[in-house]
Amino acid sequence: MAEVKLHGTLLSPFVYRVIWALKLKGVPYEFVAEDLSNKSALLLKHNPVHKKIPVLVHGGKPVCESMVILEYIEETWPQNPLMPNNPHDRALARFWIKFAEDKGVAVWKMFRSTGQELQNTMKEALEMLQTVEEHGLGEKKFFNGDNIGLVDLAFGSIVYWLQVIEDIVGAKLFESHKFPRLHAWIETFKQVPVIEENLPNRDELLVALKLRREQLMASA
Amino acid sequence: MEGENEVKLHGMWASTYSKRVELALRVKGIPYEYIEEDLRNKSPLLLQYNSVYKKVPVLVHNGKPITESYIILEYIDETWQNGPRLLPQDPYQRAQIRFWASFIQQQLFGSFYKLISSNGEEQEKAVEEVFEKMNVLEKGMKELLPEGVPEVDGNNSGVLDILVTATFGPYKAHEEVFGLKVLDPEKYPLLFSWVQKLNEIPLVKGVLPPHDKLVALLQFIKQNDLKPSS
Repeated sequence: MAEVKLHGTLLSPFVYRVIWALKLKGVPYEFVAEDLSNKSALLLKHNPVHKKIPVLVHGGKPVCESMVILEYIEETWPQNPLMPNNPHDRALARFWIKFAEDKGVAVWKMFRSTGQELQNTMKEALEMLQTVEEHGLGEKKFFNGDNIGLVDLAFGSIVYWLQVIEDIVGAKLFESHKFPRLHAWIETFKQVPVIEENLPNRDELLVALKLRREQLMASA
Repeated sequence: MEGENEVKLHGMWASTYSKRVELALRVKGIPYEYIEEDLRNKSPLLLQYNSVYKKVPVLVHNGKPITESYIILEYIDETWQNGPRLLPQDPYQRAQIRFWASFIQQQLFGSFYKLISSNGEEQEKAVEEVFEKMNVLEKGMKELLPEGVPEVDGNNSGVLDILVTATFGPYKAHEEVFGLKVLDPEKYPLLFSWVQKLNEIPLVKGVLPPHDKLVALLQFIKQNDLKPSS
């Protein structure tokens, strides 16, 4: 089988989406750690457009953008399917994946902002959570139904990182009484064996992200 | 059979996103009922079908709604397997196309929006950004299509043809209203020649908004400082 490599860092929620997908499918891969302040020539060659991680390289061919990578993984390794079978449910899954991409941005913006901008991004993040709570999950165990799927991976990284970022910026958005469904879901998500074994340690992540935020604020 | 394969499209005649879906339905030869939405007075059905965003286009297939234009294209391709394929079978090629569809949507459209909603120095920066992104797209398409743009007709159009048509097809109207040559044949020869070929296809001519009507609408939006929305 052609070789699989994943370029990334272990702080990135986008990289973790790919790690989870590969592990859920049982696809062996080599992790290539990147230093974002000193990106490798190989990374820049594989992702000349965005110069970002994650990049999946399969048999020497690069795939960029975490959700594009996830659909590629799903189509290339069909075992343990992470997307529904029928076209309508797939379209719905893709809708939520796109929503996660478009609106999840608020969480990353929160991390990078202070003052009024922070207030604005917090409001955006809250709206995103409200929409997902109201329309996205229903009474399902996972976004994908009874089993974990790509939509769960998309939101899993957003929510897990949000819970840490909230502490760092001193926000209280994701409260359990406001978001009962999402709270139940994230606990279920974190207990899926593959996820549990492949989550960054919360305390370590908090420390690392705090430092990163300080660096960002200092250079602003 | 009655009710089976009932396809309706809620759209808007000037919306580039709406046009994407119309093009796809026609390329596939899928009969559909078109419902024109007044975006200032959206129908209750539209609001019900797209409760999250309340936007066009919405495809309704046997009563079930699908929203988001690119997602609708993939849905159409997966559901109607007869007729030309809008996306290739190979997962790597599909990933390439999805990457560029995302680039057009997030990067390019993002820059277009900044361009038309800003003034003065901010707008100058936005212009630079648009040209940069167009450059990236031109380069990307050159790599994706090393033999150049294949001869296109209504029978072999794929998702990228559809996206390029819907985005750039009406370029003359855009130029007239905004006074800016974005689709410059000297800067972006591949994209320019691709658009020329696409605009010749009868199917495309039948779908794209009429030039004068589009110019009038865009002038109105510009003069009233409105924001484009679906």
